[in-house]
Amino acid sequence: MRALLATLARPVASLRGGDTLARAGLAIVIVLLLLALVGGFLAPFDPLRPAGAVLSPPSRLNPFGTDIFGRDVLSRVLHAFRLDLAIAGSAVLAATLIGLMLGGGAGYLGGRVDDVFMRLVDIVQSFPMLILAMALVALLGVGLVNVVLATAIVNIPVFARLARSQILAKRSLDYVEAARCSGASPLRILVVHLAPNILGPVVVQATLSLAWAVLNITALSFLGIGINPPTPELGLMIAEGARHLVSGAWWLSVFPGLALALTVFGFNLFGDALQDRFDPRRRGV
Amino acid sequence: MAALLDIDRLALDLAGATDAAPLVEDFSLRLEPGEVVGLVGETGAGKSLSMRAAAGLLPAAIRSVAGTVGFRGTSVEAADTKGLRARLGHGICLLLQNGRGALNPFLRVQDQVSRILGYQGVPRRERASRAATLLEAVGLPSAEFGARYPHQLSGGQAQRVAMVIALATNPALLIADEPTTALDVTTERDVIGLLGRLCAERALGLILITHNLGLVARICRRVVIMHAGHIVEAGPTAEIFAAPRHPYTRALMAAVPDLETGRLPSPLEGTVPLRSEFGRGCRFLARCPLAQPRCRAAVPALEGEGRQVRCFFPLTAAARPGAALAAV
Amino acid sequence: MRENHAIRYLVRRLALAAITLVGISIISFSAVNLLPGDPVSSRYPQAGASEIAAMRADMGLDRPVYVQYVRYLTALARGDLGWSYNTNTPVTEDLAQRLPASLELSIAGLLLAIAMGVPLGIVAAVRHNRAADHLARLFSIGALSVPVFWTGLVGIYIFSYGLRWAPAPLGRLPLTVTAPPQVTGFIVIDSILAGNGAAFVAALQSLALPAIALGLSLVAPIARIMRSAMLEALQEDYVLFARATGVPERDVVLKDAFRGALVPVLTIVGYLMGYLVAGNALVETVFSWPGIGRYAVQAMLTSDMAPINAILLILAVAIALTNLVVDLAYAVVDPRIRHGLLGA
Repeated sequence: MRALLATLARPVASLRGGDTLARAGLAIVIVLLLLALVGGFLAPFDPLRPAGAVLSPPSRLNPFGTDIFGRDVLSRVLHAFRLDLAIAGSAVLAATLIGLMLGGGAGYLGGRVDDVFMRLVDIVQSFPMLILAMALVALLGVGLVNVVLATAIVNIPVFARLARSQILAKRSLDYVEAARCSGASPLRILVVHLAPNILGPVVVQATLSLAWAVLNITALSFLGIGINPPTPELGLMIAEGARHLVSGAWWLSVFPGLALALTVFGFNLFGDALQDRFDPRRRGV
Repeated sequence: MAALLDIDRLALDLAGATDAAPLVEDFSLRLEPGEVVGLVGETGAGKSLSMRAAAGLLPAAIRSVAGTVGFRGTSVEAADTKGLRARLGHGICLLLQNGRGALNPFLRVQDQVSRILGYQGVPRRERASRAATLLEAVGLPSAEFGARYPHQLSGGQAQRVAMVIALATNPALLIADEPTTALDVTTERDVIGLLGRLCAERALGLILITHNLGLVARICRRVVIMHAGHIVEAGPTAEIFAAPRHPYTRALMAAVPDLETGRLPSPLEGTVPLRSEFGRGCRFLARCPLAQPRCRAAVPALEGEGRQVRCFFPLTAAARPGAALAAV
Repeated sequence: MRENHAIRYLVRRLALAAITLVGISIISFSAVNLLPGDPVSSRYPQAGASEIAAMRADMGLDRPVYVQYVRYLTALARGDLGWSYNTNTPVTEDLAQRLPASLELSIAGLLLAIAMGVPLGIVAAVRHNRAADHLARLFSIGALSVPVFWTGLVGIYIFSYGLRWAPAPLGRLPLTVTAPPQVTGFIVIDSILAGNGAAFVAALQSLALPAIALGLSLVAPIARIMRSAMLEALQEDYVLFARATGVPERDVVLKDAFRGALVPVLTIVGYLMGYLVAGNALVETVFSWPGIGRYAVQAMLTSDMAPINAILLILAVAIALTNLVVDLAYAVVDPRIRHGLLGA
C-alpha cells in the first residue's frame, strides 16, 4: 500500500517544480472535484423548478439567466456538471478495472488466449469510440445506465492494451522471476508484484479517458442518444439552448458549454502533464 | 599568422544550474592550420561537450557560461550559438561517432553529397561529378555506392561517406568525435589511416576526440588529456607518452597493455567524479595516489609553455609505461 | 527475396484485416438479429400475431441463425445493405446520395486542421520548452477540450446571427441559390466547372463555419503528434550532422527532421479518421449538413437498424483499409522499411 501511494505521490510531488501548466491543471482538477462534491449545495435554486421569468438574460438573481421554463441556468449547470462527472467517473472506473483484468490476464497467460483477446480488442477499436458508443446506446436503449455501460465498454480496450503491454514488458523482470520461483501464485504475482508498477501509466490514461468520457457523454446527450430531459445534463442543455440561439438567448448553451470545456480542459491539462512525468522518453527530452 | 582555432577559457554548465560547479572549466585550446591534435579522456571527461560547445552544437541541457572561441582571427563569445554555428560548413565541420546514424536515412549517398555541394555553391550540373570524385577519394566507387541508402552501407563505409560529406564543405578544421568507436579494429585502422592521409593532403586541422591512446600515437603530433572537465595535461604526443607529468596521464597509460614488455594493464582506480562530487580542490583528488592536503584546498592551474600540466606535484622522472606506445 | 518479404507482409496484413472484418460482420449481424427487440413487432406494434409471423417468415427471421448469417453475407456481397425504414430507400442509395456532402466537409476540415496543426507542432518542437511551445500546447489542449458541437453553435451565434458573415446553418447552399449540375458531387468544385460564380461563393460561405469547427477539433491530435515526432527527429544524429555540415537551420528543420517525423505522424492517420468521422456526425447535425453523419444520427435516434449496421460495417472496412494504406505508406516514406525490414 505504501508503495502504491508512493507511486502516485512521486509525479504529483514533482509537479511542484516549475511547470506552471501542470500546476494549473492540477488546480483546476481539484476545484472541479470540490465543486462536484459540494456543487449541489451551492446551487441557489432547484434545477427542476422555475426560479424567475422565462428566458431572462443573466442578472444578479440568475447569473447565468433562465431557460424556457424559467429554471435557473446556474443551478442546472452545477447539477449537470456533477452528473456528467459522476457518469464519466463510474464508466472510466469500470473500464479501468475490467480492462486491467482482461488485458493483464491475457498478457500474463500469453499464447492462444492472448491472440484471440487481442483480435477482439482490435475489432472493438476499429470503430471510432463516439460512433460505437452511439450505436451501443441506440441498441440498448436511451438512458443513464446504458450511457454508463456504453462509455465503459468503449473505454475497455485502451486499458486492456495498456495493462497487457506493461505486463509483457515486466513479467520477465528479475524480481518477478524470483517471485515465481519462490512459488507465488500467478494471482499473487499479478496483484502484489505487477499491479503497483503499472499504476502510473494507468492513472495517466484514466485522467485522459475521463476528459474524453465527459465529452463523449455530453455529445451523446446533445444528439439525443443519451440522458433524457428534464434531467440537468450539459449536452442536453446545450442542445436545448441551440434551439433558442436564433432568438438571441445565447446564455442557454454558452454557459453549459463553458462549464463543459473547462472541465475537460482541466483533466486534459493535468493528464498531459502527468504523462510527461511518467513517460521516460518524453521526460528526457 | 592567426591561429586556426583559439578556444579561450571555455566553461560549460547545466542549463538550469544555480550552484557554480561547471561541468567543464578553464578549457583553452589553440590549433595552428594543418595541425592534428588528439583530445583524450575517459567517458564523461567533457571532451565531446567542449568541442560541441566550440561548434555551437551543445544539447539543450547544457550551456556555455564563459569563454570565447576564435577561428581564423575572428573571436566569438562561447554563448553565441548563432555566431558559432555560422562557421559550420564554412571552415569547420564535425564528424560523429556513429557514421550510419549521421547520414540522412532518407537520401541516397550521392544525393547527400550533392546536396552539401549545393549549399557550398557548386552549380547543379557539376555536383554529380564532384560527388563522384570525392567518393572515389575515400575508396567508394560512386557507380557502386552512389545509389545506396545509408542502411545499405557497412559502418566503415558509412563513416567514409560522412567524411566525404565533411570534405564537401571544404573545411579548414575537422573535429572528429570518436569517429571509429563503433567500428571493428581493422576497419578502425583503415578509417583512421584515411583520415590522417586526407588531413595531410589537404592541410586540414584535425581535433581527434578519442579514448584510444594508440590512435593518438599514430596520427596526432600533440595531445590534450582531460579529466572531469579539466585539461590536466597537454603537449607533444611523444614527450607526454615518454614521460607523463600528471598522475592521471600516467594511470591512463598504465591501463594500456604493453605488448613489447608483456606488462599487464593496471586498470584505472575509481571513476570520473560526478558534478555533485566536484569539490573546491583538484578533481582528480579522490583517485590520486599522491594527493596532499594542498590538493584539497584549490584547483591547480594549468601551467607551462608547450608542455602544460595541471598539478601541484607534477611527476618528474617517473617510470615510462607509455614508452612502447609512443613508438607505435 | 525482398519482394517476397513485402508480399508475405502484405498477405499477412490482408489476412489480419479479413479476420477483423469477419468479426465485425458477426458482431453487427448479432446486434441487429439477436438482441432483444424484434424488428417486426417493434416496427408494427399494432400487427396481430399471425401477421407478425407472416412478416417474420417473409423476412427469413424464422430460419436458423447461421442461415440468416449466410443470407446476410450474400446480400452484403451483392452490395445490398438493407432498407432504411426512415427514408424508405435502400441504404446503399441513401449513402451514395450523402457521401459527397460528407467528403466535401471532411476534406475541407482535414485540410484546415493540417494547415494549423502541422506548423503548430513544428514551432512547438523547435521552440521546445519556451513560450511558443507552452502556448501551442495550451492551444491544442484547449482545442481538444472544447466540444465540437459547442464550437459550431458559438460560431453560428457570432458569425451567422450576429455579424451575418455566414449564411444560416441550413446545409450546403442557401435556399435562394440553385445548385450547379452534379459532376463531382462537391458543390465547390461543381460550381467552378459550371462557371457559376454565385454558387461557388455561396457554397464556400456555407462550408466555412462547419469546416472550421471540424478542423479545430482535429488540430490537437495533429499538432501533438507532430510536436513529439519532431522533437524526436531533432535529437537524431543525422540532424546534428546536417547542422555540423552547415545545412541552413531552416532546411534542417523542414527537410531533414520533418522527413524523419513523417513516419510517426503516419501512425495516427487511422486514429485521426475515427476522430474525423465522430466530428462529422456532430458538425453535420449542428449545421444541418446533408451528409452521412447526420443520416447516421437520425438512424440511431430511431433505431433504424439497417443503416446503423451498414455504417458501422463501412466504417470498419474504411478504417481497416486506411491502416493498410498507412502501412504501405511507411514504405514509401522510409527506405529502410521499403528494403525488406518490413517483416522484422
